[in-house]
Amino acid sequence: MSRQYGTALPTGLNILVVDDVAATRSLMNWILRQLHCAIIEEAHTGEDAIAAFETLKPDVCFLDIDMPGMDGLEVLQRLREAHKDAFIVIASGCSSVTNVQTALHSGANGFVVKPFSISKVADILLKYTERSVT
Amino acid sequence: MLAVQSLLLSTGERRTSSECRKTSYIRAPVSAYICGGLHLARHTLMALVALLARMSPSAFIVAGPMTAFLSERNSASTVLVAHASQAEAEHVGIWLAENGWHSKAMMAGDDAIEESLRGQYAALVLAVRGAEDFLRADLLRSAGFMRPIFGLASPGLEITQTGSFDELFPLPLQLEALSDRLRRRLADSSIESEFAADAEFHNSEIFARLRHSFLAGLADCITAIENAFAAKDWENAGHLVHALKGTAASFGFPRLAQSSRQIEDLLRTDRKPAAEISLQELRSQTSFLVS
Repeated sequence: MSRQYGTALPTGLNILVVDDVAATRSLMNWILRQLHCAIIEEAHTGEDAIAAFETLKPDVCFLDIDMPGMDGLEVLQRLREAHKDAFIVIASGCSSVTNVQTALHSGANGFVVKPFSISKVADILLKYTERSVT
Repeated sequence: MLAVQSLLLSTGERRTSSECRKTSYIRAPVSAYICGGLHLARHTLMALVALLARMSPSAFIVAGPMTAFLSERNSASTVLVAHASQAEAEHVGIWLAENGWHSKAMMAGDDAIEESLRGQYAALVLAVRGAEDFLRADLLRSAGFMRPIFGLASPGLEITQTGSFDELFPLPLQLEALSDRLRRRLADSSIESEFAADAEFHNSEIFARLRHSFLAGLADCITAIENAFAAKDWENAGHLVHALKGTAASFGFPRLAQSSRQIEDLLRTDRKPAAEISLQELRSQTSFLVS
């Protein structure tokens, strides 16, 4: 079911943003600050992402799918093995149904298509809230 | 709000807003709505819009007090109508336009799901012809599409559950019922404020700074792609154009993003000579942007 009237966005969330492109991380960081997220950590490789995840234990992790070295799906798999309940969202510029299905079947909790916007990211945070409630 | 005037730039005709909504949906590639302000200011803006439209024929430009525009249009945002046939989708789209909704029509199927995730839509109206359309709606919900999804159920389709749909309407559609549900669901002020925040963001100083920083690094980025091509390091070249595609789209350079996507596709399908030609075009676009 879609969001209801006056649904409040969660605030104070800890977020990890994983993307190999600095400009994309900056953009996402700014959007998350507008949405009142508390701590926003960034990682630019899959290996860094795993290390940062262990330290921060983020509420939500936005994970780019296409990175040099360890790609997003491999990072997702590793994180999922160690953190069954983690909320991990795949971010990609490619919105093909196959791509979305692959990400979700690999254990992603959501899929956000670039370019990022406040409304798209807010939807993901609401989805996180719904899951936390249920 | 002062009178709303609209201009159909494709034909040069000026019409009232209601006529414009109807007509622009059918055939005008560009429509401009100039709300409020002084008569002279409106006409100056129209001239500017006409100039912009020549550069970007798919532009949809709104000027003037946004809040006034929103109340005139019910919502700042667009409803995606994905029907079983283009003609039916346009029929629904025209009806929605006449009732103050902006809509985009397309065929139902995977493309509509991809478009829903890619674009900024306030709601989706999706044709339901069988189980596969229920699965499509489920996929959207699982991905995180939290906006209303309304289904248009094909005649004879036996429906016992709504699944991920907010509501299912039997065909032939009672258009008033659909409009009523849209009006109720899209009255959510938080959704409206996010769309407004997105619009504000793209005019903000921080976005201008990020955009400037992107442009400052663009020439180096193209050089890196060229070096990867020269070294026949296709994997690295693919990563670089993929990253450029995402950031160019994020910072408001759709042509650059499109060219990058083209090169990415060409590399993926092993059409290197064509990719090299496209790279030259990308270089030309970049030179134009950073000059």
